[in-house]
Amino acid sequence: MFRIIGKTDIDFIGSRKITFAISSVFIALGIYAFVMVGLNKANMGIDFTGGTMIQGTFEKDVTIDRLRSVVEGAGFGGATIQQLQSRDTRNTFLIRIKQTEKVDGVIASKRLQSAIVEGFSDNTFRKDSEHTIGPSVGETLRKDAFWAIIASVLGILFYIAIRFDFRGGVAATIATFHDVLAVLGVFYILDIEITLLIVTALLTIAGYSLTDTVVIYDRIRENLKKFRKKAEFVPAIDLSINETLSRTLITSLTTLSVVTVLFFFGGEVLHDFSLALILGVIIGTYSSVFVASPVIAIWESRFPKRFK
Amino acid sequence: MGKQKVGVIVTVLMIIISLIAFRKTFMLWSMDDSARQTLIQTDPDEYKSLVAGSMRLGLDLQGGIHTVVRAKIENLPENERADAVNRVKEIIRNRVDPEGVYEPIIQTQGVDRIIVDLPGWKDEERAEKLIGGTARLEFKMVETMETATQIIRRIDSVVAAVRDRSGSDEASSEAVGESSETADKADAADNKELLSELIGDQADTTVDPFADETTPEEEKPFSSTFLYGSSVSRLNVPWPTITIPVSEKKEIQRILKMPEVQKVITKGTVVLFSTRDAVENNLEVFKIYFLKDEVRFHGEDLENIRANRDQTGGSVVNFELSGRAANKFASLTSNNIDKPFAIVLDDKVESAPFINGRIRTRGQITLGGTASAKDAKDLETVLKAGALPVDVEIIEKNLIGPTLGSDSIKKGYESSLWGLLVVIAFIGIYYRLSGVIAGIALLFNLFFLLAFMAGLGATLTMPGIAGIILTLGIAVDANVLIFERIREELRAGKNVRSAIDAGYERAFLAIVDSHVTTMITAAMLYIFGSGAVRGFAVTLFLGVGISLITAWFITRMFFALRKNYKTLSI
Repeated sequence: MFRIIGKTDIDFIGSRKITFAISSVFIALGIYAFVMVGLNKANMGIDFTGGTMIQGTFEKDVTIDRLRSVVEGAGFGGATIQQLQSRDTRNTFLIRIKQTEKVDGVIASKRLQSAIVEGFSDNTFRKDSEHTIGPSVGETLRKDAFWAIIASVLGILFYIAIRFDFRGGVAATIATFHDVLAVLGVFYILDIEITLLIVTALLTIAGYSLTDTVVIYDRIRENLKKFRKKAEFVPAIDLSINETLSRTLITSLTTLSVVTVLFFFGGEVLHDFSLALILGVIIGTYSSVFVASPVIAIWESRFPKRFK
Repeated sequence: MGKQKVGVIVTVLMIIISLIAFRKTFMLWSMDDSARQTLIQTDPDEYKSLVAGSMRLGLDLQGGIHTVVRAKIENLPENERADAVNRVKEIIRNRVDPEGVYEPIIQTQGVDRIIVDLPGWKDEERAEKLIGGTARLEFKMVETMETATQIIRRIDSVVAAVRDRSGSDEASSEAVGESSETADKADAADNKELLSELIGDQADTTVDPFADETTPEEEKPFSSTFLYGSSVSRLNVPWPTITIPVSEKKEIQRILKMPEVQKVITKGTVVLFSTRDAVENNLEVFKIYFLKDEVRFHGEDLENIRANRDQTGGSVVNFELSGRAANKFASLTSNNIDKPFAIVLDDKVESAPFINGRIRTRGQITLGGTASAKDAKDLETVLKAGALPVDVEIIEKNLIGPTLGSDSIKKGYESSLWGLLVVIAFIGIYYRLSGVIAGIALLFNLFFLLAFMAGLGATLTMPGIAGIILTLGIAVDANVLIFERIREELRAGKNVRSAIDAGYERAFLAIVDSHVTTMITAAMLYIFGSGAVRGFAVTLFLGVGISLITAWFITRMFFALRKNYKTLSI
């Protein structure tokens, strides 16, 4: 039998002071990022702000500085320009322009393209892709994303509450929020654009993190039948985490390996998406062990009432 | 019935269902283009059913154009809005269908939005015209030269004044004082010149009635761009259709949009651009027309619309009229012989031919400029489909070139392959033979997932591929839970048979719980998501659901075979 870890007897609940400190930082950072998103001060993608994103390839060599001066000359000082590395050409660029009060995405797209054609009259620009979001669409998408988050959280809370009990539901939800906020916080610090796909990744992380938590809860419930006395609640939880630890790690490793593959092979579209999933799997694994279970333990020791 | 038998039955059943689900996709994808076209013609219903039961590739994978248009229904009464949006949808469908696009998706979204997906489309401009063009065809009379001249004069002076006021810091500031002083004088001189042009018989198209050597060019920022100022009828009467080099187009558009300029354009007159540019004397030019705003005839009454070529090879669209419309057109034309009337499509002038005689039942729309046969065909299509009941605006557009699409397919394929290899290698090393069994189950999993998606006619997108790959990682979880449990039981000293039974039994709840939570999230993403997000949600939901079945039945079947072993490779 090949094992990554042998039989463990780690005092997970006992180490909660350190881990709670770490988690508090994550949560604080996440809440800060969330507020910034709410205030529209975060780096929101054009899905939500409205705007245009054009990817195209020049026939002849073009420097990014020259392109930038053309784009800025057309009145788009806030444009993000990225030179895409690919096997075939160095002249592929991705230009992102967020909508402003005066210029919506649809107009920006037209103006940008004619500026490029005029600015590079000696060169040809082949448009590979365009993603343009007009006014009011961004707002709809923002609303939909908001409701998707609310509905997912409620759905999960509801499921845990009927499968376990209210406390379990709350503790699992705390752990889930912890993960989503942590990844959001890290993305905010790294100044990665929050797109629709990133929100999707955050919700997937929520589902994944919960899976981990639920497996441990199942084991806690099973073990509680063995530990009859109330005083033995904390050891029961520790035992459950230890027993499920190898499963937790193996599943996390397989999931981590596929999202890492996605990160390296999935291309531009899935780059940030898979980064979010990588972070989410790591933090989600950490939180089910170090957040969800200790929260139950503390709650139970303060207000004893058997976890079901 | 033994557990083993159930496993075999479920496995066989799943394989049969999958093969059936794949059938239509296989049939459709093995057809080449001509076979498809033949089928579309001979049995369109069969083709539709094939498409509905096949795996679709999302626009991000096969390339194409996705647009969302908004119908401007806010001016309609409440009870007519839904109907108007539906009519817009149907008209757009009728315009797109003759193009032979494979499986366009046209559907309403929300109150006033219509999604139009055109897989494989490359020509963005045409797509926009077919989707977003209102196709309101109107016939308007051209304004008299006198009225036009007065307006042009006024535009010249307000533009010059505005420029002098605001632009003095930018350029030629030294000339400002001088020019504003001479402006009035120049005005008067110009007027005289113009009048003589108008009365005089020599308003040939090669003559610029606004060319005036005495006034400096800066004083006429508008009319100095004119190449020719008029076209002349058989009776030698000039009419204001103005030819301007394309290089000045932006400036003219800017001028005509200025609020000061719009104020001086007399009520009842409109200034419209030509639909297309043209080439005259090796120079790219366009035209602007001064028209009477009143609509004299509408395009709805046209019948038997057909694109054609005229004797000179130009593109035209023929039409016929009958009944009251024919009478109306007859009186309109007979009253205006030798006058030009403009054929206006969506506020742009196709052409402004002179009326040579009374037209009653047959007419012809000449497409001006560099119109091609395709343009004529497009005009025929939109006129046949009818005008949209309300204007629409494009509010979202996604365009993916074919190269980018095939590039994405390659990346998706590569990452799926690597993902599969990594996971199988990992569990094979860790759980030995049992891991290999789980790996086989994973392959089944992938096969079933793709089959279900095909059978449901689901769309495979790049995020959808990400969902599949993520599912590969998560799908192993069910097996990991079982294997870990069996290992525990073995460590506790149980024999192989009871360890396997206990392992499956005890892992069951955890497996269901862990899968259901992920499926809840996926369901929410599907309900609230759109486009690419939905593609991801579908694959995640199906993938996780299927992995529950494969872990429970298929790997168990293999384990049942190994129950009598002395030791278990796990």
